[in-house]
Amino acid sequence: MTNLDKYNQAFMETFGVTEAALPELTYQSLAEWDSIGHMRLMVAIEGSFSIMLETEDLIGFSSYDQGKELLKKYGIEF
Amino acid sequence: MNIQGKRLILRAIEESDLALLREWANDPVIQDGIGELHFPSSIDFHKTWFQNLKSDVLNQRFAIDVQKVGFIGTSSLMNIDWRNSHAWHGIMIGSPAVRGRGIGFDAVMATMRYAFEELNLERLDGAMIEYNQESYKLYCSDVLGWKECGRRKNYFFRKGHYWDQILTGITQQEYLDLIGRTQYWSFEKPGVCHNKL
Repeated sequence: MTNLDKYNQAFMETFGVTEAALPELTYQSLAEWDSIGHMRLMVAIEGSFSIMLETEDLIGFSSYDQGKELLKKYGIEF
Repeated sequence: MNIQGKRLILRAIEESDLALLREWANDPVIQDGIGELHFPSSIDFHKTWFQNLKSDVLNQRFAIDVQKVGFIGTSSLMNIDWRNSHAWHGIMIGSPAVRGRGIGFDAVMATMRYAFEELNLERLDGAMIEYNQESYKLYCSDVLGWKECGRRKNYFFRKGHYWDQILTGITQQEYLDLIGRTQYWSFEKPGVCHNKL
């Protein structure tokens, strides 16, 4: 499984959306990505990549696209 | 001893925290979600409260201090019953910059870890106003594992109406099952990456 597969799977399993919908996703753009959904997503991503996000990244993680950029600092390339 | 979360510490409240505590105590948006009644409060009121806090062994209030962000709210263990090993828990996130991003979740996890693994409490209880759905969803989700224990009809009067009080709680065993299932404390060092590409 590639890093992109893992990343996409975290979003799809957390929010129950299709892969086609992912590029449009931003924080609170759908009902499921609320504060609890955000927490679930962060836990899913941390588990998938065996990392622990810095607090500033947890707070600043605000969209599907931006998240990919943010994960680069943890050595995760897409 | 400070209490360690994954991204924060719970530390003693200091006198230098009082200005922010006063600001949050007078913020109508924050206070709408909290069960306690708050009259407009002065800095003198908070200084007196702070003095009394020092000798209160039954009510422990901790400052939530987040790395690179600072003091963002409080987490409390109240009405601690040392004989029967239970307490009430409440949390207040004052800083708007971190609301809704999982910091409160980590603060509750750290509080539970301290209550169950250090103080050996048997259960924690909490209560919320029925319209505070964000709080209900946080506590009574599979990620925190609390359970609704009951409701008191028309317990709070807010905005011209009575609202139910929702009672919630978690036992020590339920907490241990939770961390066994989620492995929440497995990664405690930010930035550690085992995924070498």
